[in-house]
Amino acid sequence: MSFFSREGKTTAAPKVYRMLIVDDSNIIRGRIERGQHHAQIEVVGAAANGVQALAMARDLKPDVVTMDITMPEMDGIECVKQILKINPNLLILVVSAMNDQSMVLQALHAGAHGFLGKPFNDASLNRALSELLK
Amino acid sequence: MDAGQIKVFLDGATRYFVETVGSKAEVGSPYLIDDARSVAGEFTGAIGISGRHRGTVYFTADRALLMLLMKEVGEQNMTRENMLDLVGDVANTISGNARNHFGNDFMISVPTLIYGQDALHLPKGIKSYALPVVWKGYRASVIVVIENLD
Repeated sequence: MSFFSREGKTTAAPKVYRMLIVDDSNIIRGRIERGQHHAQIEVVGAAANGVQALAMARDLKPDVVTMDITMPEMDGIECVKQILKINPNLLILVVSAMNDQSMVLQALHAGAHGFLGKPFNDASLNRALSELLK
Repeated sequence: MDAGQIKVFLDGATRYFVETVGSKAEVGSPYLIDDARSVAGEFTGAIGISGRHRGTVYFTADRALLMLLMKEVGEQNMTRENMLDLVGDVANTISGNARNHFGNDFMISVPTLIYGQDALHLPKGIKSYALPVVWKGYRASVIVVIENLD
């Protein structure tokens, strides 16, 4: 299940999108990195919580972020808000098991552009990323 | 918990395997347990529940099932840490999906990871339901220990 909002998208996207993966699960970070096959995406880093994600967003300057919600240190909703202050043009795909309507709306309201519910597989991940980059 | 609420977790366990690896797990009839000894696997992920409900959702499994599941998702680093991470992710996914039934005040914690069959101890004073899962011949369990505070 995935949802998308067009608000806040840039029109002049770079040819290759630098992607940061944010998830407290090493297994999920690995699955997203291995599973994404989008020709325009290059994975540049992976963070295990929101605090790390903010530091890596400053250092690595990603264009795209996949964002977990339930994480230690700083949850994904707060991290979406904070990371957009670093780069308001970031495209953010929230990836979470909490795929109920209220959480999807909360994520989109915070500034995320898409939502991929868990469990996911490579096909649904790549569909969600393609939608995000349209 | 009533039958409809328990079915939420049965469906969640089924959905996890179908969506993640494209093969169905058989989820058996739930039954009450007094302690975890009969169902505990070597690796357990536990998600704390708060809000209008209180309790814990566990996913517990042995090494063989987890190694096969990791292989199916392309994970080659089959360390103890990654196996713990995986049971935590399964428990997180089943618990998070349950919000579609229980509502947005069904709050879930980050996973607590438990290693060793003897280390899994269930809360006292709340009914504990074991939901047996068999995937490709390997057994695991979802354990649901939740009470409604209304």
